[in-house]
Amino acid sequence: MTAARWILVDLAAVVLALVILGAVYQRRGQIFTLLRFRRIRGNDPAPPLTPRPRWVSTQPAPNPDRIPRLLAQRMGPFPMTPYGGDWNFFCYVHIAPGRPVKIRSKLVSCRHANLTLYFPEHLRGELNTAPPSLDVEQLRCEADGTYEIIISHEASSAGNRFDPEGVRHGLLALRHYVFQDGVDIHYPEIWWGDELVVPARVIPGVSSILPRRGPLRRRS
Amino acid sequence: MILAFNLVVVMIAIVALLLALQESVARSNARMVDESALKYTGAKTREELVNRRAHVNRDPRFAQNPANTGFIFFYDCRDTDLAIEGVLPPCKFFGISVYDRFSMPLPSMAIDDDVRDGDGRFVVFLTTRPSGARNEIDVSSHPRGTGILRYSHMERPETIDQLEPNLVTVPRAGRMPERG
Repeated sequence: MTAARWILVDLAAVVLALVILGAVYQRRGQIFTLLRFRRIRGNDPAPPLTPRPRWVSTQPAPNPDRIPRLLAQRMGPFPMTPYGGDWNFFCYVHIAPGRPVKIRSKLVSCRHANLTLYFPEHLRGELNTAPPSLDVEQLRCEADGTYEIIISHEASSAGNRFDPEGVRHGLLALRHYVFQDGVDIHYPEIWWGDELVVPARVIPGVSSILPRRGPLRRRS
Repeated sequence: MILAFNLVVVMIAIVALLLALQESVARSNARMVDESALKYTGAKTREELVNRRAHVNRDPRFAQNPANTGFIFFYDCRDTDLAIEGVLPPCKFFGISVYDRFSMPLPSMAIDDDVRDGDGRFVVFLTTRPSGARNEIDVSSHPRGTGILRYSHMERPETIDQLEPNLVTVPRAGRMPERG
């Protein structure tokens, strides 16, 4: 009886620990969303993999949105650059027919920025075509630097539009290369139709390690 | 009391499990990178490539966007520095980052603005004793590892094969760290 009781206690403790780990990994890295994303077909008519996606990053600490190390490794082998190198983050989006996805934000002062929409097939290495992407030079902005991008299956008169090529499940990756030291990083808000699913966020005064100072070393 | 002890033991077991998983993923990633390197270079062993040769990253398992292309190399700076010399093509961004065996980036990298020479060429040094030059990458935390030369949105990506950089081991230039 005693042994059976302790085995039950151990099992309960293991289940509890796994539930806690699962909750932490889902909150910090959306692990269940990402695992399902890696397996699903891009054009699968399944409902959204999560009702509450969020921007996360594979860049290490002190990035406030870093995903757990194990998950970053799993997305590797070479996920990203070091903290302060460039600033990259990604977010799951569900693109249903007749319900455009809207991305609204403000430009970040950096040398180059790019927004790419990856399909699950890209992550599995099954597609070697370039995913839909938009460079900052192509982006049409308002005078105050704000912009809106529409991802829709239907034709649109929007100034900035992604054609998702029939795909309903995507991973948006927003990259800022060589941003100025101390700049504010704007995380875009994301709307699925009329529903705001990811609110805007600002990370103020981010420190950059680039470009560096010092002389140029030459081969002797 | 016994219940609390039991919970602590299980928590320790979970942490051990996480570490074991990290090690397992690290080995799996390393195997994938090594296999890919041998396949795309024709080398017989990984050691043939260390500090000697970079190869174009063509493996679809970790080259998921043709707009972001580049070279992979293996380095070992325990005894010498490694100089990487090449040409900077027109592109939106060029950077060199280095990774430990867990695929995590080291906190040092170099970009085109740091390394550009007057004639459109570049040279970058991987070193465990950085001298303060802006074209050095400090690998003292992981003297052995893997690096990537990344070109984003090259104007002529079809020319990537002509850009293979030279890898040359060179004597260390930096000072020995002072002992307290």
